Amino acid sequence: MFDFFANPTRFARLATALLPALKIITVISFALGLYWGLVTSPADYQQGETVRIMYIHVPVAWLASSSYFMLALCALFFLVWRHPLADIGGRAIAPVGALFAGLTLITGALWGKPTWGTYWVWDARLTSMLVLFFFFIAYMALAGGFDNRARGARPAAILALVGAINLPIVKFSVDWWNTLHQPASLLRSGGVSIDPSMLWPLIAMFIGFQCFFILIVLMRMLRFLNEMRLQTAHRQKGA
Amino acid sequence: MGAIFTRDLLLAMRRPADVLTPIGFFLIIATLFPLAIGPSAELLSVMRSAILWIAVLLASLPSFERLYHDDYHHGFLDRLIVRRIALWEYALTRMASHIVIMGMPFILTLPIIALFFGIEAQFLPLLALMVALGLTGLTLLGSIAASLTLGARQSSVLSAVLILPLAFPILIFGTMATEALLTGNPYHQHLALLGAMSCLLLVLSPAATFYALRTATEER
Repeated sequence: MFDFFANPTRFARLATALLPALKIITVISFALGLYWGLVTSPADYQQGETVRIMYIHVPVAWLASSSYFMLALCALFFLVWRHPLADIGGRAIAPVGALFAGLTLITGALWGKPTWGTYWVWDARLTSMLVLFFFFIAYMALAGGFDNRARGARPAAILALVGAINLPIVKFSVDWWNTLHQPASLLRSGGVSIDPSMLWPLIAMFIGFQCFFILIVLMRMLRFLNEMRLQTAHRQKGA
Repeated sequence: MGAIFTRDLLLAMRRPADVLTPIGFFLIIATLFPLAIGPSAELLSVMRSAILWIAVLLASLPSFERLYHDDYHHGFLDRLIVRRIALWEYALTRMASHIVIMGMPFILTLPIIALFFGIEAQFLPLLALMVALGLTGLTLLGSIAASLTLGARQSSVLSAVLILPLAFPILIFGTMATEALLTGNPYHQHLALLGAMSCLLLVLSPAATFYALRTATEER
């Protein structure tokens, strides 16, 4: 299967064919999720209407962590199999991952103000998400830090893998730091069952954000491919 | 490899400024905190382990750039590859000499820091052990960042952005161990985790550095 996708033209054809379907699914899931989430689902008996931020916050947080996983996967494919699309994939994923991590922090802050009374607390989960955001920033800084763009590919991939190995340790250390520095966490952990009336909008938003993510990444990858093709054409003309 | 180690020691002895500048930086960072917070001994005693570790972290950062910079630009790395000398072995030697050359002055400066922040002399040996462990871990991380940023634009800022998020565990375990030690609480678990972090990096860092150095020499 890797060989099949190793041909950028074939990949571009497939991706272009997928785009319209993805767009349709994204729009439908967002429309359904937002309607169910904002109109039909009940308000929480403790948090009131603010609970509706969850329908954005939770899918975005989930995607932020899974996009680092995908970034590390791309890095592995690039380093081991020298897969030409893997570098482009990594570069396409990183800013989107950073965006989702940033959105998680922002929606979390907006949710925190009415429920906890403050925009930011140095809670373990908030801090780990901030660290994840920094990891994306570091990857982007290194991938774009060289005059010759291709030269940044392997260092960035190595960094992504080092980061993937270190991420659980950083997570553990932040939990360790938090439990010893602070009393009980503000976030209730576990034991919260969710009502179907809230589950369905959440699932719809999950699907919507997931398709949106794939859509953006594919579009960015196609753009990078076209840019590279344009540069090659320029070089051939010049020679 | 022994030759490289002796070469590094000799170079450090002939250019004492290279070793002393980070120490000056270390002391200056430690001075910044009282100037910003105020001279209150109470506040400073609450913050002293944090101040110590932030100063260690920041003061050691610029030194990592020197790990491979000269050998890369003078073509020494290419000669190592031509002569089929394992790059990871070379990298480990460089890290070891760096830990000795940079770590020793830091440890020797600790009594001054202790004096500044009212830390009793009895804590100094264990404090030195903690800082040494932390610096070992930091050097292992610094080696990854220094080799990855070879030939990059703004490589010093870039390597700081790479090292610092990865160094959060060292900062956390280091400050907690120091704080526990100074307040008379059990510090062993924090110290053990600090050591575990360095051990893990000892496995990870030579491999990552090796790949990064090879990339840097192949795609110059």
